[in-house]
Amino acid sequence: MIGLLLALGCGELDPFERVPADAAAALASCDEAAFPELATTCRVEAAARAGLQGRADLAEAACDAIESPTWKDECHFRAGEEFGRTARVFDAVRHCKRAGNYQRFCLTHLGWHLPADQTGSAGGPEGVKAAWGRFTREADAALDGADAGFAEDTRSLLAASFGFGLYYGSGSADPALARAILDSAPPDDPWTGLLAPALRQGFADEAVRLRVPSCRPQPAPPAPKPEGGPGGPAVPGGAGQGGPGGGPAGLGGGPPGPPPAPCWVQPPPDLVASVRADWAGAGPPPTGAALPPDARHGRYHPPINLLAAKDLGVLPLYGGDRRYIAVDPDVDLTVAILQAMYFHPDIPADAVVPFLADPAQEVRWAAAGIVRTTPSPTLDHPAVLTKLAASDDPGLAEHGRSGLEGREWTVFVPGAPPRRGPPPGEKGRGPPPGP
Amino acid sequence: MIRFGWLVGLLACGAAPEPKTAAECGALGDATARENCRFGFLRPLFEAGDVAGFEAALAGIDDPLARDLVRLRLAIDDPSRADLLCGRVETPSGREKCQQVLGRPHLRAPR
Repeated sequence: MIGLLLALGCGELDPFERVPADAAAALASCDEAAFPELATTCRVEAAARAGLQGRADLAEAACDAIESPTWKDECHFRAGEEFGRTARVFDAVRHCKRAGNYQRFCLTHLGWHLPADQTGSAGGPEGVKAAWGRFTREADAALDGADAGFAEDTRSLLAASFGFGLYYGSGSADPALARAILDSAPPDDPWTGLLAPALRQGFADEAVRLRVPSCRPQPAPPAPKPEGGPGGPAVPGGAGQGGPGGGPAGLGGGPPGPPPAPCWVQPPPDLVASVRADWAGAGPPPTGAALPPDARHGRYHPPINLLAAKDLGVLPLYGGDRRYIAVDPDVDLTVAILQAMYFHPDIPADAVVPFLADPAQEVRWAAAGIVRTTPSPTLDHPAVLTKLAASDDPGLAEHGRSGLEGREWTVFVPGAPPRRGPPPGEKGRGPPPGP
Repeated sequence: MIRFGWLVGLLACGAAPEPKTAAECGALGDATARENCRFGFLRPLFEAGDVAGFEAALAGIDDPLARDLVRLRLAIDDPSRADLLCGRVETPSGREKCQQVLGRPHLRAPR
Protein backbone atom coordinates (compact mmCIF):
# COMPACT_ATOMS: atom_id res chain seq x y z
CA MET A 1 0.00 0.00 0.00
CA ILE A 2 2.77 2.41 0.92
CA GLY A 3 4.64 1.39 -2.20
CA LEU A 4 1.59 2.12 -4.33
CA LEU A 5 1.15 5.50 -2.72
CA LEU A 6 4.79 6.25 -3.28
CA ALA A 7 4.59 5.26 -6.93
CA LEU A 8 1.44 7.24 -7.61
CA GLY A 9 2.64 10.26 -5.71
CA CYS A 10 6.15 10.31 -7.13
CA GLY A 11 5.67 9.56 -10.82
CA GLU A 12 7.56 7.35 -13.27
CA LEU A 13 10.06 8.52 -15.88
CA ASP A 14 8.94 8.62 -19.52
CA PRO A 15 11.19 11.21 -21.13
CA PHE A 16 11.16 10.00 -24.72
CA GLU A 17 7.44 9.93 -25.32
CA ARG A 18 6.73 10.25 -29.04
CA VAL A 19 5.51 13.56 -30.35
CA PRO A 20 1.89 13.36 -31.62
CA ALA A 21 1.48 13.20 -35.38
CA ASP A 22 -0.92 16.15 -35.50
CA ALA A 23 1.04 19.40 -35.57
CA ALA A 24 -1.21 21.27 -33.14
CA ALA A 25 -1.19 18.40 -30.66
CA ALA A 26 2.56 18.08 -31.11
CA LEU A 27 3.18 21.72 -30.30
CA ALA A 28 0.91 21.58 -27.26
CA SER A 29 2.76 18.51 -25.99
CA CYS A 30 6.07 20.37 -26.16
CA ASP A 31 4.90 22.81 -23.51
CA GLU A 32 4.37 19.82 -21.22
CA ALA A 33 7.86 18.40 -21.74
CA ALA A 34 9.55 17.93 -18.40
CA PHE A 35 13.04 18.94 -19.55
CA PRO A 36 13.98 22.03 -21.58
CA GLU A 37 16.27 20.15 -23.98
CA LEU A 38 13.52 17.71 -24.91
CA ALA A 39 11.07 20.59 -25.24
CA THR A 40 13.47 22.05 -27.81
CA THR A 41 13.68 18.95 -29.96
CA CYS A 42 9.94 18.48 -29.53
CA ARG A 43 9.35 21.94 -31.00
CA VAL A 44 11.60 21.14 -33.96
CA GLU A 45 9.59 18.01 -34.65
CA ALA A 46 6.35 19.93 -34.25
CA ALA A 47 7.58 22.53 -36.76
CA ALA A 48 8.40 19.77 -39.24
CA ARG A 49 4.93 18.29 -38.83
CA ALA A 50 3.44 21.74 -39.25
CA GLY A 51 5.35 22.13 -42.51
CA LEU A 52 4.13 18.79 -43.81
CA GLN A 53 0.55 19.68 -42.80
CA GLY A 54 0.66 23.17 -44.24
CA ARG A 55 0.29 24.93 -40.89
CA ALA A 56 2.45 28.02 -41.28
CA ASP A 57 1.11 29.49 -38.02
CA LEU A 58 2.17 26.49 -35.97
CA ALA A 59 5.61 26.23 -37.59
CA GLU A 60 6.20 29.88 -36.76
CA ALA A 61 5.08 29.43 -33.16
CA ALA A 62 7.19 26.32 -32.69
CA CYS A 63 10.42 27.93 -33.88
CA ASP A 64 9.76 31.23 -32.06
CA ALA A 65 9.54 29.31 -28.78
CA ILE A 66 13.10 27.96 -29.09
CA GLU A 67 15.87 29.96 -27.44
CA SER A 68 18.97 28.06 -28.54
CA PRO A 69 20.34 29.71 -31.72
CA THR A 70 21.46 26.36 -33.16
CA TRP A 71 18.12 24.71 -32.63
CA LYS A 72 16.16 27.74 -33.73
CA ASP A 73 18.04 27.64 -37.05
CA GLU A 74 17.45 23.90 -37.25
CA CYS A 75 13.74 24.42 -36.57
CA HIS A 76 13.44 26.83 -39.49
CA PHE A 77 15.48 24.44 -41.64
CA ARG A 78 13.18 21.51 -40.85
CA ALA A 79 10.07 23.57 -41.40
CA GLY A 80 11.49 24.87 -44.69
CA GLU A 81 12.30 21.34 -45.80
CA GLU A 82 8.80 20.08 -45.16
CA PHE A 83 7.08 23.06 -46.74
CA GLY A 84 9.38 22.60 -49.75
CA ARG A 85 8.59 18.89 -49.89
CA THR A 86 4.91 19.69 -50.24
CA ALA A 87 5.50 22.46 -52.81
CA ARG A 88 4.49 25.25 -50.40
CA VAL A 89 7.39 27.13 -51.81
CA PHE A 90 6.90 30.56 -50.28
CA ASP A 91 6.34 29.21 -46.78
CA ALA A 92 9.56 27.27 -47.33
CA VAL A 93 11.37 30.46 -48.35
CA ARG A 94 10.14 32.28 -45.25
CA HIS A 95 11.63 29.60 -43.05
CA CYS A 96 14.83 29.04 -45.00
CA LYS A 97 15.41 32.79 -44.74
CA ARG A 98 15.54 32.40 -40.97
CA ALA A 99 17.62 29.22 -40.88
CA GLY A 100 20.84 31.12 -40.18
CA ASN A 101 23.86 28.92 -40.88
CA TYR A 102 21.60 26.37 -42.53
CA GLN A 103 20.01 28.74 -45.06
CA ARG A 104 21.80 27.27 -48.07
CA PHE A 105 21.13 23.68 -47.02
CA CYS A 106 17.48 24.57 -46.60
CA LEU A 107 17.29 25.99 -50.11
CA THR A 108 18.25 22.69 -51.72
CA HIS A 109 14.93 21.30 -50.54
CA LEU A 110 12.75 23.92 -52.15
CA GLY A 111 10.30 22.13 -54.35
CA TRP A 112 11.20 21.21 -57.88
CA HIS A 113 7.68 20.04 -58.42
CA LEU A 114 5.64 23.18 -58.59
CA PRO A 115 1.97 22.45 -59.11
CA ALA A 116 0.69 23.22 -62.60
CA ASP A 117 -1.58 25.93 -61.27
CA GLN A 118 1.48 27.75 -59.92
CA THR A 119 3.07 27.94 -63.39
CA GLY A 120 -0.23 28.71 -65.11
CA SER A 121 0.46 26.45 -68.07
CA ALA A 122 -3.19 25.42 -68.36
CA GLY A 123 -4.00 29.01 -69.32
CA GLY A 124 -1.62 29.16 -72.29
CA PRO A 125 0.78 32.09 -72.76
CA GLU A 126 -1.44 34.60 -70.95
CA GLY A 127 -1.95 32.20 -68.07
CA VAL A 128 1.80 31.65 -67.75
CA LYS A 129 2.48 35.37 -67.84
CA ALA A 130 -0.03 36.01 -65.07
CA ALA A 131 1.31 33.10 -63.03
CA TRP A 132 4.85 34.37 -63.32
CA GLY A 133 3.77 37.79 -62.06
CA ARG A 134 2.06 36.22 -59.03
CA PHE A 135 5.02 33.93 -58.46
CA THR A 136 7.58 36.72 -58.33
CA ARG A 137 5.40 38.95 -56.16
CA GLU A 138 4.90 36.17 -53.63
CA ALA A 139 8.58 35.30 -53.71
CA ASP A 140 9.60 38.92 -53.18
CA ALA A 141 7.24 39.16 -50.23
CA ALA A 142 8.64 35.97 -48.73
CA LEU A 143 12.18 37.30 -49.22
CA ASP A 144 11.47 40.58 -47.48
CA GLY A 145 14.26 41.22 -44.99
CA ALA A 146 16.50 38.46 -46.31
CA ASP A 147 20.20 39.16 -46.77
CA ALA A 148 21.17 39.95 -50.34
CA GLY A 149 23.13 36.76 -50.98
CA PHE A 150 20.33 34.52 -49.80
CA ALA A 151 17.77 36.51 -51.78
CA GLU A 152 19.82 36.17 -54.97
CA ASP A 153 20.34 32.44 -54.50
CA THR A 154 16.66 31.93 -53.77
CA ARG A 155 15.50 33.89 -56.81
CA SER A 156 17.89 31.86 -58.95
CA LEU A 157 16.56 28.59 -57.57
CA LEU A 158 12.93 29.66 -57.84
CA ALA A 159 13.37 30.82 -61.43
CA ALA A 160 14.99 27.49 -62.29
CA SER A 161 12.20 25.65 -60.53
CA PHE A 162 9.57 27.66 -62.42
CA GLY A 163 11.19 26.94 -65.77
CA PHE A 164 11.44 23.25 -64.92
CA GLY A 165 7.90 23.08 -63.60
CA LEU A 166 6.48 24.93 -66.58
CA TYR A 167 7.77 22.42 -69.06
CA TYR A 168 9.23 19.18 -67.82
CA GLY A 169 6.83 16.27 -67.95
CA SER A 170 4.01 18.46 -69.24
CA GLY A 171 3.85 16.73 -72.59
CA SER A 172 4.48 19.92 -74.54
CA ALA A 173 7.54 21.98 -75.43
CA ASP A 174 5.79 25.08 -76.69
CA PRO A 175 8.18 28.04 -76.81
CA ALA A 176 5.24 30.45 -76.82
CA LEU A 177 4.88 29.94 -73.07
CA ALA A 178 8.43 31.09 -72.42
CA ARG A 179 8.17 33.95 -74.91
CA ALA A 180 5.05 35.23 -73.16
CA ILE A 181 7.15 35.97 -70.10
CA LEU A 182 10.43 36.90 -71.74
CA ASP A 183 8.90 39.39 -74.13
CA SER A 184 7.30 41.34 -71.31
CA ALA A 185 9.99 41.04 -68.63
CA PRO A 186 11.19 44.46 -67.47
CA PRO A 187 14.94 44.74 -68.13
CA ASP A 188 15.66 46.24 -64.70
CA ASP A 189 13.75 43.58 -62.75
CA PRO A 190 15.99 41.40 -60.54
CA TRP A 191 14.26 38.35 -61.93
CA THR A 192 14.79 39.06 -65.59
CA GLY A 193 18.42 37.94 -65.87
CA LEU A 194 17.58 34.67 -64.12
CA LEU A 195 14.53 33.90 -66.13
CA ALA A 196 15.80 33.35 -69.66
CA PRO A 197 18.30 30.57 -68.90
CA ALA A 198 15.76 28.91 -66.60
CA LEU A 199 13.10 28.87 -69.30
CA ARG A 200 15.57 27.66 -71.93
CA GLN A 201 16.56 24.82 -69.63
CA GLY A 202 13.03 23.71 -68.79
CA PHE A 203 12.07 23.90 -72.44
CA ALA A 204 15.13 21.91 -73.53
CA ASP A 205 14.55 19.23 -70.87
CA GLU A 206 11.05 18.60 -72.17
CA ALA A 207 11.87 18.92 -75.87
CA VAL A 208 14.66 16.34 -75.56
CA ARG A 209 12.40 14.03 -73.56
CA LEU A 210 9.70 14.25 -76.21
CA ARG A 211 12.08 13.88 -79.15
CA VAL A 212 14.04 10.97 -77.66
CA PRO A 213 11.57 8.37 -76.37
CA SER A 214 12.86 6.44 -73.41
CA CYS A 215 13.74 2.78 -73.75
CA ARG A 216 12.34 2.11 -70.25
CA PRO A 217 8.71 1.35 -69.43
CA GLN A 218 7.06 4.68 -68.83
CA PRO A 219 4.46 5.42 -66.15
CA ALA A 220 0.93 6.16 -67.24
CA PRO A 221 0.22 9.84 -67.83
CA PRO A 222 -1.68 11.59 -65.06
CA ALA A 223 -5.47 11.47 -65.23
CA PRO A 224 -7.04 14.79 -66.14
CA LYS A 225 -8.22 16.73 -63.09
CA PRO A 226 -11.97 17.21 -62.63
CA GLU A 227 -13.21 20.80 -62.97
CA GLY A 228 -12.77 22.77 -59.74
CA GLY A 229 -10.63 20.09 -58.17
CA PRO A 230 -7.84 20.92 -55.77
CA GLY A 231 -4.86 22.57 -57.37
CA GLY A 232 -1.48 20.90 -57.49
CA PRO A 233 -0.26 17.33 -57.57
CA ALA A 234 0.25 15.27 -54.42
CA VAL A 235 3.94 15.19 -53.64
CA PRO A 236 4.99 12.05 -51.78
CA GLY A 237 6.44 12.69 -48.35
CA GLY A 238 9.24 10.85 -46.67
CA ALA A 239 11.65 10.90 -43.73
CA GLY A 240 13.10 14.33 -43.45
CA GLN A 241 16.79 13.79 -43.34
CA GLY A 242 18.38 16.53 -45.28
CA GLY A 243 21.79 18.08 -45.75
CA PRO A 244 23.90 19.95 -48.16
CA GLY A 245 23.74 19.02 -51.72
CA GLY A 246 20.82 16.79 -51.14
CA GLY A 247 18.62 15.87 -54.07
CA PRO A 248 14.99 16.73 -54.26
CA ALA A 249 13.06 15.33 -51.40
CA GLY A 250 9.97 13.26 -51.62
CA LEU A 251 10.81 11.41 -54.79
CA GLY A 252 10.09 7.85 -55.75
CA GLY A 253 7.06 6.18 -57.25
CA GLY A 254 6.94 3.32 -54.73
CA PRO A 255 9.16 0.87 -52.91
CA PRO A 256 12.53 0.39 -54.62
CA GLY A 257 12.98 -2.83 -56.53
CA PRO A 258 15.99 -4.31 -58.26
CA PRO A 259 17.51 -1.77 -60.63
CA PRO A 260 16.22 -2.24 -64.16
CA ALA A 261 18.81 -3.29 -66.70
CA PRO A 262 20.34 -0.17 -68.27
CA CYS A 263 19.20 0.64 -71.75
CA TRP A 264 20.61 3.21 -74.09
CA VAL A 265 19.12 5.37 -76.77
CA GLN A 266 21.29 7.08 -79.33
CA PRO A 267 19.54 10.33 -80.17
CA PRO A 268 19.32 11.47 -83.76
CA PRO A 269 22.53 13.31 -84.77
CA ASP A 270 20.55 16.48 -85.49
CA LEU A 271 18.87 16.54 -82.08
CA VAL A 272 20.49 19.79 -80.98
CA ALA A 273 19.58 21.49 -84.26
CA SER A 274 16.02 20.20 -84.02
CA VAL A 275 15.49 21.50 -80.51
CA ARG A 276 16.98 24.84 -81.50
CA ALA A 277 14.44 24.98 -84.30
CA ASP A 278 11.69 24.09 -81.81
CA TRP A 279 12.72 27.04 -79.65
CA ALA A 280 12.66 29.32 -82.66
CA GLY A 281 9.12 28.19 -83.39
CA ALA A 282 10.10 26.76 -86.76
CA GLY A 283 7.33 24.20 -86.70
CA PRO A 284 4.64 22.81 -84.43
CA PRO A 285 6.03 22.32 -80.92
CA PRO A 286 6.90 18.77 -79.87
CA THR A 287 4.13 17.09 -77.93
CA GLY A 288 3.71 13.69 -76.33
CA ALA A 289 2.60 11.86 -73.23
CA ALA A 290 2.84 13.79 -69.98
CA LEU A 291 4.54 12.29 -66.96
CA PRO A 292 2.83 11.90 -63.59
CA PRO A 293 4.24 14.38 -61.06
CA ASP A 294 6.21 11.81 -59.09
CA ALA A 295 7.98 10.63 -62.25
CA ARG A 296 9.25 14.07 -63.27
CA HIS A 297 12.91 13.52 -62.58
CA GLY A 298 16.08 12.49 -64.38
CA ARG A 299 19.80 12.05 -64.11
CA TYR A 300 21.70 14.31 -61.75
CA HIS A 301 24.96 14.46 -59.85
CA PRO A 302 26.47 16.57 -57.09
CA PRO A 303 27.74 20.02 -58.15
CA ILE A 304 31.09 20.23 -59.89
CA ASN A 305 32.99 23.51 -59.67
CA LEU A 306 34.95 24.50 -62.74
CA LEU A 307 37.65 27.06 -61.97
CA ALA A 308 37.85 28.07 -65.61
CA ALA A 309 34.19 29.09 -65.51
CA LYS A 310 34.33 31.06 -62.28
CA ASP A 311 33.22 34.30 -63.92
CA LEU A 312 30.08 32.81 -65.45
CA GLY A 313 26.66 32.92 -63.88
CA VAL A 314 25.16 29.65 -62.70
CA LEU A 315 21.73 28.12 -63.06
CA PRO A 316 20.59 25.66 -60.38
CA LEU A 317 19.54 22.32 -61.74
CA TYR A 318 17.25 19.60 -60.55
CA GLY A 319 19.07 17.40 -58.03
CA GLY A 320 21.33 20.07 -56.56
CA ASP A 321 23.69 20.37 -59.51
CA ARG A 322 24.15 23.58 -61.48
CA ARG A 323 25.28 24.56 -64.92
CA TYR A 324 27.11 27.60 -66.16
CA ILE A 325 25.19 30.21 -68.11
CA ALA A 326 26.69 31.30 -71.42
CA VAL A 327 26.70 35.05 -71.97
CA ASP A 328 25.40 34.69 -75.53
CA PRO A 329 21.76 33.48 -75.38
CA ASP A 330 22.21 31.49 -78.55
CA VAL A 331 25.17 29.62 -77.09
CA ASP A 332 23.30 29.19 -73.82
CA LEU A 333 20.50 27.45 -75.67
CA THR A 334 22.97 24.85 -76.93
CA VAL A 335 24.35 24.41 -73.41
CA ALA A 336 20.78 23.91 -72.16
CA ILE A 337 20.14 21.25 -74.78
CA LEU A 338 23.32 19.37 -73.91
CA GLN A 339 22.33 19.52 -70.25
CA ALA A 340 18.93 18.14 -71.21
CA MET A 341 20.65 15.24 -72.97
CA TYR A 342 22.44 14.49 -69.71
CA PHE A 343 19.18 14.76 -67.77
CA HIS A 344 17.65 12.09 -70.04
CA PRO A 345 18.75 8.88 -68.27
CA ASP A 346 18.98 6.78 -71.44
CA ILE A 347 21.27 8.99 -73.53
CA PRO A 348 24.90 7.85 -73.28
CA ALA A 349 27.97 10.07 -73.12
CA ASP A 350 28.80 9.46 -76.79
CA ALA A 351 26.00 11.76 -77.89
CA VAL A 352 27.76 14.90 -76.61
CA VAL A 353 31.32 14.00 -77.68
CA PRO A 354 31.06 15.96 -80.96
CA PHE A 355 30.50 19.13 -78.90
CA LEU A 356 33.93 18.85 -77.26
CA ALA A 357 35.18 20.66 -80.36
CA ASP A 358 32.47 23.35 -80.49
CA PRO A 359 33.64 26.89 -81.27
CA ALA A 360 32.01 28.20 -78.07
CA GLN A 361 33.95 27.47 -74.88
CA GLU A 362 30.82 27.20 -72.72
CA VAL A 363 29.52 24.46 -75.02
CA ARG A 364 32.87 22.62 -74.94
CA TRP A 365 32.99 22.83 -71.16
CA ALA A 366 29.41 21.68 -70.78
CA ALA A 367 30.11 18.71 -73.06
CA ALA A 368 33.24 17.80 -71.10
CA GLY A 369 31.37 17.95 -67.81
CA ILE A 370 28.70 15.67 -69.22
CA VAL A 371 31.18 13.18 -70.71
CA ARG A 372 32.92 13.03 -67.37
CA THR A 373 29.79 12.10 -65.45
CA THR A 374 27.78 10.09 -67.96
CA PRO A 375 28.04 6.38 -68.55
CA SER A 376 28.23 4.74 -71.94
CA PRO A 377 28.34 1.13 -73.10
CA THR A 378 30.88 1.92 -75.80
CA LEU A 379 32.85 5.08 -75.05
CA ASP A 380 36.44 4.70 -73.87
CA HIS A 381 36.15 7.24 -71.07
CA PRO A 382 39.76 7.09 -69.88
CA ALA A 383 41.04 7.72 -73.40
CA VAL A 384 38.69 10.65 -73.95
CA LEU A 385 39.46 12.15 -70.55
CA THR A 386 43.21 11.72 -71.05
CA LYS A 387 42.98 13.62 -74.30
CA LEU A 388 40.96 16.38 -72.60
CA ALA A 389 43.46 16.62 -69.77
CA ALA A 390 46.17 17.43 -72.31
CA SER A 391 44.11 20.19 -73.98
CA ASP A 392 45.19 23.83 -74.15
CA ASP A 393 41.64 24.79 -73.22
CA PRO A 394 41.73 25.27 -69.42
CA GLY A 395 38.15 24.13 -68.91
CA LEU A 396 38.62 20.95 -70.92
CA ALA A 397 41.91 20.23 -69.17
CA GLU A 398 40.33 20.73 -65.78
CA HIS A 399 37.44 18.37 -66.57
CA GLY A 400 39.84 15.84 -68.03
CA ARG A 401 42.17 15.80 -65.02
CA SER A 402 39.39 15.71 -62.45
CA GLY A 403 37.51 13.14 -64.46
CA LEU A 404 40.48 10.80 -64.49
CA GLU A 405 40.86 11.15 -60.73
CA GLY A 406 37.29 10.25 -59.96
CA ARG A 407 34.17 10.00 -62.02
CA GLU A 408 31.08 10.32 -59.92
CA TRP A 409 27.61 10.07 -61.20
CA THR A 410 24.20 9.34 -59.76
CA VAL A 411 21.41 8.04 -61.89
CA PHE A 412 17.90 8.21 -60.61
CA VAL A 413 15.70 5.77 -62.46
CA PRO A 414 11.96 5.61 -61.71
CA GLY A 415 11.05 2.80 -59.36
CA ALA A 416 14.63 1.94 -58.41
CA PRO A 417 17.17 3.24 -55.90
CA PRO A 418 19.76 5.67 -57.26
CA ARG A 419 22.77 4.06 -58.92
CA ARG A 420 26.13 5.55 -58.08
CA GLY A 421 29.73 5.20 -59.13
CA PRO A 422 31.50 4.45 -62.37
CA PRO A 423 29.44 2.61 -64.95
CA PRO A 424 29.71 -1.18 -65.02
CA GLY A 425 32.02 -2.60 -67.61
CA GLU A 426 34.07 0.57 -67.99
CA LYS A 427 37.48 -0.08 -69.42
CA GLY A 428 40.47 0.34 -67.09
CA ARG A 429 41.43 3.89 -66.23
CA GLY A 430 44.46 5.28 -68.00
CA PRO A 431 47.33 6.89 -66.07
CA PRO A 432 46.95 10.59 -65.27
CA PRO A 433 48.71 12.90 -67.76
CA GLY A 434 52.32 13.77 -67.03
CA PRO A 435 53.42 17.21 -65.74
CA MET B 1 -3.21 2.89 8.05
CA ILE B 2 -5.33 3.72 5.02
CA ARG B 3 -6.53 6.99 6.58
CA PHE B 4 -2.97 8.15 6.91
CA GLY B 5 -1.63 6.51 3.72
CA TRP B 6 -1.84 9.74 1.74
CA LEU B 7 0.23 11.45 4.37
CA VAL B 8 2.86 8.73 4.26
CA GLY B 9 3.11 9.09 0.48
CA LEU B 10 3.26 12.86 0.64
CA LEU B 11 5.95 12.86 3.27
CA ALA B 12 7.94 10.14 1.46
CA CYS B 13 7.89 12.03 -1.86
CA GLY B 14 9.00 15.34 -0.54
CA ALA B 15 10.96 14.52 2.56
CA ALA B 16 14.45 13.50 1.22
CA PRO B 17 17.35 15.64 2.43
CA GLU B 18 19.18 17.88 -0.10
CA PRO B 19 21.30 15.54 -2.28
CA LYS B 20 25.01 16.09 -2.21
CA THR B 21 25.91 13.65 -5.01
CA ALA B 22 24.30 12.39 -8.15
CA ALA B 23 23.68 9.06 -6.47
CA GLU B 24 21.75 10.76 -3.66
CA CYS B 25 19.42 12.31 -6.20
CA GLY B 26 17.90 8.87 -6.55
CA ALA B 27 16.18 9.41 -3.22
CA LEU B 28 14.03 12.17 -4.64
CA GLY B 29 10.56 10.94 -5.30
CA ASP B 30 9.46 13.34 -7.99
CA ALA B 31 10.79 12.07 -11.32
CA THR B 32 11.46 15.49 -12.84
CA ALA B 33 13.21 16.78 -9.76
CA ARG B 34 15.24 13.58 -9.55
CA GLU B 35 16.48 13.82 -13.13
CA ASN B 36 17.19 17.52 -12.92
CA CYS B 37 19.16 16.86 -9.77
CA ARG B 38 21.24 14.19 -11.48
CA PHE B 39 21.78 16.39 -14.50
CA GLY B 40 22.92 19.21 -12.24
CA PHE B 41 25.74 17.02 -10.94
CA LEU B 42 26.69 15.27 -14.17
CA ARG B 43 26.71 18.18 -16.57
CA PRO B 44 29.64 20.03 -14.95
CA LEU B 45 31.69 16.83 -14.99
CA PHE B 46 31.05 16.36 -18.70
CA GLU B 47 31.67 19.99 -19.57
CA ALA B 48 34.92 19.96 -17.61
CA GLY B 49 36.10 16.99 -19.66
CA ASP B 50 36.20 14.72 -16.62
CA VAL B 51 35.26 11.64 -18.58
CA ALA B 52 36.09 9.17 -15.81
CA GLY B 53 34.16 11.15 -13.21
CA PHE B 54 31.24 11.55 -15.57
CA GLU B 55 31.08 7.88 -16.47
CA ALA B 56 31.42 6.82 -12.84
CA ALA B 57 28.61 9.12 -11.75
CA LEU B 58 26.46 7.97 -14.66
CA ALA B 59 27.07 4.34 -13.72
CA GLY B 60 25.65 5.16 -10.30
CA ILE B 61 22.23 5.66 -11.90
CA ASP B 62 20.35 2.36 -11.90
CA ASP B 63 17.82 3.08 -14.61
CA PRO B 64 19.20 2.88 -18.22
CA LEU B 65 16.45 5.23 -19.39
CA ALA B 66 17.64 7.80 -16.87
CA ARG B 67 21.24 7.36 -18.02
CA ASP B 68 20.13 7.90 -21.60
CA LEU B 69 18.22 10.98 -20.58
CA VAL B 70 21.43 12.54 -19.28
CA ARG B 71 23.24 11.65 -22.50
CA LEU B 72 20.45 13.04 -24.67
CA ARG B 73 20.17 16.29 -22.75
CA LEU B 74 23.91 16.85 -23.13
CA ALA B 75 23.84 15.91 -26.83
CA ILE B 76 21.00 18.32 -27.52
CA ASP B 77 22.70 21.05 -25.55
CA ASP B 78 25.87 20.63 -27.62
CA PRO B 79 25.31 18.64 -30.80
CA SER B 80 29.03 18.67 -31.58
CA ARG B 81 29.38 16.09 -28.78
CA ALA B 82 26.50 13.95 -29.99
CA ASP B 83 28.67 11.26 -31.56
CA LEU B 84 30.39 10.63 -28.24
CA LEU B 85 27.20 10.63 -26.20
CA CYS B 86 24.78 8.92 -28.56
CA GLY B 87 27.29 6.17 -29.22
CA ARG B 88 26.71 4.98 -25.65
CA VAL B 89 22.93 5.21 -25.55
CA GLU B 90 21.38 1.99 -24.25
CA THR B 91 17.64 2.05 -24.84
CA PRO B 92 15.67 1.86 -28.11
CA SER B 93 13.76 5.05 -27.34
CA GLY B 94 17.01 6.81 -26.51
CA ARG B 95 18.55 5.67 -29.80
CA GLU B 96 15.49 6.88 -31.67
CA LYS B 97 15.71 10.27 -30.01
CA CYS B 98 19.43 10.47 -30.77
CA GLN B 99 18.67 10.19 -34.47
CA GLN B 100 17.20 13.66 -34.33
CA VAL B 101 20.74 14.87 -33.74
CA LEU B 102 22.86 12.20 -35.42
CA GLY B 103 20.73 12.23 -38.54
CA ARG B 104 21.49 15.91 -39.11
CA PRO B 105 25.26 16.12 -39.55
CA HIS B 106 25.21 19.89 -40.07
CA LEU B 107 24.19 20.27 -36.40
CA ARG B 108 27.55 18.89 -35.38
CA ALA B 109 29.57 21.35 -37.46
CA PRO B 110 31.10 24.31 -35.59
CA ARG B 111 29.08 27.54 -35.84
